[in-house]
Amino acid sequence: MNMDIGKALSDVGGLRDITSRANNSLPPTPDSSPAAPSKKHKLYDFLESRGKIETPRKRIVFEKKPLLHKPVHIQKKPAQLCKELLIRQLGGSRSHPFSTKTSRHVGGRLNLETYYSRPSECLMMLNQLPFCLGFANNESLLAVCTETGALELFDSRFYDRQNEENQPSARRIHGWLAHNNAIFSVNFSKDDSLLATSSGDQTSKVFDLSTQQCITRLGRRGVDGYHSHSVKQVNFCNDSPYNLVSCSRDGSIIFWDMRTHGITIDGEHFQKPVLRIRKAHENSGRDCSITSATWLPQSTSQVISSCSANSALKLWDLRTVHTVRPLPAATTPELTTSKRDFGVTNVCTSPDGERIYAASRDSIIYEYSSRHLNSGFCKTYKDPRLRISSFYVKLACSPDGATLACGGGVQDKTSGVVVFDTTRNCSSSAMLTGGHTKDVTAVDWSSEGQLASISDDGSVRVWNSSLHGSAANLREKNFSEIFYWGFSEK
Amino acid sequence: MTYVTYLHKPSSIRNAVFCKFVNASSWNVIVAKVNCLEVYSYENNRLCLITSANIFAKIVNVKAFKPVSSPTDHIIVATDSFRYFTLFWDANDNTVSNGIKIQDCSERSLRESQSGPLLLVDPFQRVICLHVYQGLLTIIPIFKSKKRFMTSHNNPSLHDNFSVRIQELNVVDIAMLYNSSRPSLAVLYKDSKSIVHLSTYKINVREQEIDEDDVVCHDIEEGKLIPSENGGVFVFGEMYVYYISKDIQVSKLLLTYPITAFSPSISNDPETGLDSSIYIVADESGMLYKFKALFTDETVSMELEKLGESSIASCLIALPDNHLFVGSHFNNSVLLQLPSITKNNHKLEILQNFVNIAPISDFIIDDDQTGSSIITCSGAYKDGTLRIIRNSINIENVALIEMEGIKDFFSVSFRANYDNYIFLSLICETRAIIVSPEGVFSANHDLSCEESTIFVSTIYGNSQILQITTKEIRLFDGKKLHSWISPMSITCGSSFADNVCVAVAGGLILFFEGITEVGRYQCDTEVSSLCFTEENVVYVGLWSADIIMLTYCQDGISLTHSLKLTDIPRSIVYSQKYGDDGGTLYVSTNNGYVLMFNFQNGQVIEHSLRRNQLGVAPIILKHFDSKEKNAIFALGEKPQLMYYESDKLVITPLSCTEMLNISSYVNPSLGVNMLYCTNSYISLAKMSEIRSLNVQTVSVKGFPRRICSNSLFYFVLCMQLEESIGTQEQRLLSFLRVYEKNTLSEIAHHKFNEYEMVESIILMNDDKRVVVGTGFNFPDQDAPDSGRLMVFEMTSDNNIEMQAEHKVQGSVNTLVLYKHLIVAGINASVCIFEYEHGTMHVRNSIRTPTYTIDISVNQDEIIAADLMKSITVLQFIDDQLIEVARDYHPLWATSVEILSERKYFVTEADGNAVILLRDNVSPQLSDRKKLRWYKKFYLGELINKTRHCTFIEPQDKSLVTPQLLCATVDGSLMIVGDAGMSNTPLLLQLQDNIRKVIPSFGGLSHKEWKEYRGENETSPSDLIDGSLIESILGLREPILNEIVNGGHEGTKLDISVQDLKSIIENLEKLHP
Repeated sequence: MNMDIGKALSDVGGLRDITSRANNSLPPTPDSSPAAPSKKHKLYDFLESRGKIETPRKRIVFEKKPLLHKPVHIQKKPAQLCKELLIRQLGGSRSHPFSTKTSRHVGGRLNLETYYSRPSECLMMLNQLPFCLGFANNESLLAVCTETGALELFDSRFYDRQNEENQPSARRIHGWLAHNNAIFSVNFSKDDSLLATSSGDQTSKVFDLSTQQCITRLGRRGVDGYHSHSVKQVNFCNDSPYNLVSCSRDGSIIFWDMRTHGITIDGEHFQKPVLRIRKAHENSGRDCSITSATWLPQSTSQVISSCSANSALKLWDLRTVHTVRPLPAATTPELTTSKRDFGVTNVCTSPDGERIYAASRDSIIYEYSSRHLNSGFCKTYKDPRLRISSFYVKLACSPDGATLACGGGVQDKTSGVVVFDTTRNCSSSAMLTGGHTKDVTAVDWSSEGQLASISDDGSVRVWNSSLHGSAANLREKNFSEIFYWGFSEK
Repeated sequence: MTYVTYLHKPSSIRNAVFCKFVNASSWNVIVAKVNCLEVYSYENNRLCLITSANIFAKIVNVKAFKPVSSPTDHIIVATDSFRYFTLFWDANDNTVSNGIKIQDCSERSLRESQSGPLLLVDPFQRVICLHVYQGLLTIIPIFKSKKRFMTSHNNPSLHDNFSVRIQELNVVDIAMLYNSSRPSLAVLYKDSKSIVHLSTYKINVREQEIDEDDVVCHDIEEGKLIPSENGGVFVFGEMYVYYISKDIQVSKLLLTYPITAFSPSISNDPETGLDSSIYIVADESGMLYKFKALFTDETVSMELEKLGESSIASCLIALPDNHLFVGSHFNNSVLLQLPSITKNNHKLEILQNFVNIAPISDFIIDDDQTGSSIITCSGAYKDGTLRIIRNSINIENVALIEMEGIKDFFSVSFRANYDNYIFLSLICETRAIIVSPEGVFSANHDLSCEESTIFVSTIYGNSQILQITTKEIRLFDGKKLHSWISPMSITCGSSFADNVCVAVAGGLILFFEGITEVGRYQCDTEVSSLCFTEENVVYVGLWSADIIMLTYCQDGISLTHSLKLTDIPRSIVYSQKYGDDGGTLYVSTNNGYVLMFNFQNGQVIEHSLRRNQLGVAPIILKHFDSKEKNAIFALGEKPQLMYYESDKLVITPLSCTEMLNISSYVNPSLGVNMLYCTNSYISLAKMSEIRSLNVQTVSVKGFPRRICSNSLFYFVLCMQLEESIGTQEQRLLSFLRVYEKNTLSEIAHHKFNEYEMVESIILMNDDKRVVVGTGFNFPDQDAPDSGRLMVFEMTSDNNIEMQAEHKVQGSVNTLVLYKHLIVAGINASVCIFEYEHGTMHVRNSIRTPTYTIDISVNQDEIIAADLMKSITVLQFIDDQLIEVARDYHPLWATSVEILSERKYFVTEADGNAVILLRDNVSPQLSDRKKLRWYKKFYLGELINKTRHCTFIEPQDKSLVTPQLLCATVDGSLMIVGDAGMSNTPLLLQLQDNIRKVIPSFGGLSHKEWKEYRGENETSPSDLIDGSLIESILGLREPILNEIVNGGHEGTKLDISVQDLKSIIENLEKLHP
């Protein structure tokens, strides 16, 4: 029965409906084939099941005489939020009065082929390359930073009253020059009141978002004891807006606490490091660039770091780390799968902090358990289209932890984002194509499940997920109609 | 500390089993309600509750099985945290006892099955199968050896479980087949292309393995599996029914709706048990069918016979004698008599009703003179109702006599210690009935006459019956009849001791001693009513809106007092206070008021007049003689009882609403104390002395979603689902229906547009207008992007009229009144509107995280609850909505209410509740902007609506102050209260001691049950569970002693058992 929204509900918010639709795009079978579907009434039969037969179990043998009837399959409409809420309020639908996890099914969407991006959700940066981006934790606010040090703020869900379609578009809100050098990472504090940027000028800055004023600088150029090379990443701690960690090409990781005293020189405030770990990832005696240092969520003391020289991830715990000779709390073992060492371009964690994902230069994403780093990776995500060719390629885990997005997708001269489903054992992936023409580098998720990506062609795109309508229809349209649109493809 | 107790316990039934639980010779029905198991016995065509067991977990499924050596069936209970345990009946103790204690089969790494947990028992009682996770079956072998069972008392009924892998991930349904050689399963599943297949497995218990069987079927329909005794399995698809076995595979178009429940029918012979050639099947539309399958050598013929309509069933249990128990989540559960061909009745007959008010979508509290009542929006789909829950006096019918046209009746005790004469007064006839001590009724022709009777009593020291009819005054001494025939028709009459007083047409009042006239008094107008009280005082109500008091003595009749009223008196009753000179005169007027005058020594006490409106039609007042109460019945639109309880007037509704007239009637041998009549019958009934919760049902077309009320009407937002089978489409229709409060009948409605879903309603400050918020739910859109705000008002000719309409960009999920403004939650925003001069203006709006579910306001704060992201605190200052604080935790909120200053109570979709605290004095800004989790606990049910109100006013000495009332999906109403600083330690310790002393079912821990359950964490609960504490009141003294003394390593309490009892009695006063 189609009216049964609850059935869809019990299927992870209508997942089944979409898969059935998506699977219509299976390779067509010739009409002469035994498995050819009849247009109106399908005729079905069973394979002979008496005695032991060698035939494969699930093959359908065609026979003229119909024994079983089946009504015409009518496509089921997707579950809608309002109806799902109604069903939840009534305690389930009639056929499935029992679903223990009613709540999680409402609005739970797990289909990778639902992403699309409209032309109105694409913004071009003129004459400068976007280098990094970051979503606010509670708003649909997107910060994009460029190679020249400009910081631009966008609203990814801007509702325009004049817009007839009444759909949100992306709109620039504000922008300022944050650094006089390239910005490599941008990060919002958990409550979105502060914004931190890390730059090629060997410093990081913390901005008050309401006034857009730099309230403090992390690092001093040319002064000993601070970063002596480009700062690759700066991150706020999840639980405290005062704790930050930054990492640099000089191989050091520095912990900052904004509650400590700093120094003020010429009216500019500089923070002092709380702890500096030099040579955090030493590779056969040589320093190597630290590509990523990120806090574990739900922790104020643990940081995961990666480097450009090998695949090792290190977990630093502030509670145990020695100030003179710091040693990591845990290190991942060497990979035995590949012949040579590949660096890790970026590391991200799942929202619950249980999983760590590392994008490696060998174009594989490795999944580690944050509690058992020593035992090596537990899962890999691969896709032939994924090419992690530069250290600018970043990855991000969705706020529900179910989807992993990574830049660097390449397919037939088009570039895009590759998304993976992290909930299943067999990895399924899709690529968001059509949105960018050059290499896609960084990606990030908003709290509402929107995805943003930047590309070397100067474009910033916002991707939305919808169960039906846009994304599904786009694939069937011809090229001219979907010009400047982006959509996901299996 | 938060104290939570039930006002109304959950009533939704999702599971039930039929087994021989208590003894091997009779059947029991065991019903599972959220966390409560109820054991019923099936006797005399009724289900009688034997016992109920509170389980400290949410029951997911219950099944019965029979270990070989046990004479009775055991039951296995699967709980929501992927655990199971068994229970059996201990014949020595006559209680439910634990069998296998809790077994955990949870696997955190696996994904839960999408069709929900399934619990299955092999028809040959070899294994039990549990399917919780995708691709994994947990097999629990049933104990076979008789020997070990007999030797140890703590006998195991089940072996340890083991898990086996199956290939099918997306399982729709599983059935255990009738296969005598090995336990086998049929699995209906969907593949990755959403095509449905059936495969079969055989379980090898010894090797702990599962083998694929050769019966398979491809590309069938999603549905339910019913195993057949012939070894195959029926698949009830969405439209077709398939039979699949090794040899036969057939299908037939039979169904119009998917089925929800089925039960094999029961043969009348208890030895043979189930008769699985015939099944009773219920579908989504609430229709019941009899399903028959006829097997021949090569084929099966299937037949579906319609039986009738009932509640939408979540479980069915066929009982002997063609009875059927229908357990329902959406409406009352019922025991039905199925039509049978032999008895030649074709209708479903309801034998027993089990009230269920689930799912409660919304509720309001309505206060009037008679106390509070809760009106809930209950039911869903076709079974929508409004339920009016009152704390009222329950009337239990003992015997019914079908009889029409009765106007009034009188009972009198004539030379007996019980009321042996009943006079039934019809329009132009009186029938007298003599009741023998054994309760046999026989007519008395001497006293029956052609006129209707006005008054009956006994005079001359109970030696004669006095009967006043419209024509004469008659005296009957048991043999002979004496009478005085009136020249004019008698309008009213009354007597006291040996004196009789009647009023005849023309306003003449005559006084008699026996039937000898002793005096008369001429009034100005006709007499409407009269009441003879002691000391020869007569109160007379006149049509000139006066009440006069006549005193009769030897000298004559004198007017001693007169009262001028504004309305015409219709019925007068004088009620004396025991042991006092004073009394109260109750006067009902022609417009539904009841006036009360207090008299002292024959004088009206000044300023003692009280007016109570009990209806709009004239009210009949009648005296009710009871041992404890001097009570007055008031019969208008609603029957009510008025009495004084510690000098406070209490007006309580009666549970039966169709009463026309009422009279007290004492007959101890029948166990009745009253007599009442309706349009169609007279009932001898027993009225209880104490009030209890009674539920009145008002059926609604469609199902109600939201409700609000003003002083005259209930405004109910309803939805209707119209389904068409052919196109498989579903239409949602929405209505605003207006119900009159007194008559509870629908007087007006407004139909909304197609695709428009009604979401919210509030009453505006002026008590007249209502604002309705809707959302358009077009089929091709994921989330609503448009909606309307509408203002309605009732016109003078009882029509509902739309006054204003305002289009908004989203669905108006919630509306509240903030001062004179309207706060609306529209999709992911909160907007403030002002209604002025017939139009709506937007004053301001603000974005909220994802989707606003509920809003609560107090003086200066607006709290918005979000679909996924907990709550946000907003303030409206200088025409600007600003965000003051927010909770950054993920929380799937369902309702929010302000608990006290800066404390917010939020309920969550998984049954948790959190109290959040706003710290507005913290020195750090980030702390001020962040809400803190103050307390968190588990309530166990999804709460749809929380309101700040109390149903029963707390008394001064109450240990707990009630604060909130929560309505849940499972039909319970919870009281959330505060135990106060001084009482908390004692109650907490008491709770702790009870946990330690009272053994729990299945060895479950009450502490764990009330723990907050987050996605990844559980944490101890800050909660005092009232239902746990109250549950010990009925326990025996030694156990109470142990609780007080802190047995089992508890803490010794500083109170006596008597104190404990009074504490619990105090706590019990929170709810009826």
